[in-house]
Formats: sequence, C-alpha cells, structure tokens
Amino acid sequence: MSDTSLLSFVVVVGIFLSLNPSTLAIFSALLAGSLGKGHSKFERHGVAMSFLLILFALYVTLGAALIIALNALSGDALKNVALGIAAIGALWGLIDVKEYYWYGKHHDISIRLAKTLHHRTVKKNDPLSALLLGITTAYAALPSLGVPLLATSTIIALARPYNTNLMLVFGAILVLPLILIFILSMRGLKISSVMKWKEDSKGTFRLCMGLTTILVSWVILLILNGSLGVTS
Amino acid sequence: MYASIYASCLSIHEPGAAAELIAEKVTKDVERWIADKSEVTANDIRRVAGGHLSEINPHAGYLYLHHRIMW
Repeated sequence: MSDTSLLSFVVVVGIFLSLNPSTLAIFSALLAGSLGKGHSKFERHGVAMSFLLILFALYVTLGAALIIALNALSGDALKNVALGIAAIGALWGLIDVKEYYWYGKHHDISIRLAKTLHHRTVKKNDPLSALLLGITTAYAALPSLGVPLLATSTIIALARPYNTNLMLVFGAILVLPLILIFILSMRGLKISSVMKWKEDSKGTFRLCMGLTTILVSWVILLILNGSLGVTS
Repeated sequence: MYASIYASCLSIHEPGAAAELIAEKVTKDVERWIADKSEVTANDIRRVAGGHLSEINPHAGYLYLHHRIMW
C-alpha cells in the first residue's frame, strides 16, 4: 500500500465512519436549539464552530496519541497488540452489523448522559457550552467510534515510516457531514429533515460502520501476515 | 410547553410571529384536551402537543417529538 493508497484508504474509511447516528443527532439538536433560541447568524456560527473544532481536535489528538503509543512498542509487541486490535475490531464490526437488524436492543445511553446532552443542546446554547458538548459527544460516540478509530490508527501506526498527519485528514472527514449539514442549515435546510433522514437511515449507517470496521481489521491482518506492505 | 413549541417552530425557520400564533393555538388545543382529565403524564402532554403541532406544521411536529433521540 503506497502513501496515496493509504491516504485514499483513510479517506474512504473516514467517509463511512463519519455517518455516525449519535454525532449526527447531537449536532442536529445543537443546531435546532440554536435556531430555537433565536440566535443571530453570527451566534449560530460561534456555537457550531466551537462544537466542530473541539470534536475535530479530540478525534485528531486521540488518533495521533494512539499511533504514537503503538509505535512506542517494540516490533513484536506492536504485532501482537495489532493482532488483538484486529480481533476486537472484527467482533465490534459484527456487533455494529447487528444494529442493522435490531437497532438499540441490549444497550442505550445512560439517562444522565441523555440529560447532559439535552441540557447542552437545547437549554444552554452558547459557544462555551458547545465546547463542553463537543467533549461529551466524543465520549458518547466512543462506543461506536472508539474501536474503528483504534483500528484505523493501528493501520497508520503499522506504516513505515508512520505519518500522524493522516489523522488530520481522518478527523476532517469524520466532521465533514456535520460541516455540510451546518452549511445547508444556514442556507435554509430544515433540521427536522436531517433528523428524519438520520432516524430512517441509522440502521444502514451502523451497518456501513460495522462492515468498514471489519474491513479495517482484515487489512490489519493482511499487513501482519506480510500480504500487504504499508508505506507513507 | 408554549416555549418549547415556539422554539420548535423557530428551529424550522418559521418567522417569530407565525411561531407565536402556532404556539398559542397548540397550547389552547392541549388545554382543551386536558380539561376533562383527572391525571396526565408529561409524556401524554408531549405526545398530544406534538400531534396538534404536526397537524399545523409537520416539520415542527417531527422536531418537537424527536429532538431528544440522541442514539
């Protein structure tokens, strides 16, 4: 896998993982709250930008930290850890695929977290609160995005020499749908349409996320057994 | 309830004056519905208000009923 192939791979994986129902729901609620409070365009920009920037920064920081941590391991230890991550990724992908058929069964977010999200999207809607909401969203999205992020970071970490800048691209792709929703909402798109689209498609989104995680895990295994070389 | 219906209308780009009229109408509809009830839950009120709001503006009604779904 050459540097351009690795970049393309990261972009494609990022596109499929960016359609994460919980992040889409939280951002839609934030925009709806901002409009509902009668904020000016400038204030709405402030709220949305605070949220998007902190979320982007957290994705990039977490991903880069994982890459650096993995590369701190010795060659054999890195291979063993990568093998474990591939196994976890494949299992996690299957759980995500399950969501396509039985969405939301067997788990849900806690009432406390739901209350915090509601408070920071609707009740308190300002740039500072949006920053805190971004941090809470990254935490809330961990169950669905944590393992795929770990698996993607592993592939980047296995490249020789590894390039943490790829995480900037990956992070940007992850927030890209949110940026598009924000631009469209500023141009008059009704947030209820986004919410309906998310509700109608969330099973499919999780299916895509699951299959992508399985694909990433498979690529890790191909790299480990030497079938695929990675350079960046 | 009036404030949340008003906010839902603003969220779908309804002008403030229209949002006020819709919020007043839905509030009155819910008051009429509640008049002969001895006991109602917050969820009953939300469901009925959402139903009335959906009749007037389906987008605002959808937003009112679904904005809490975060998963």
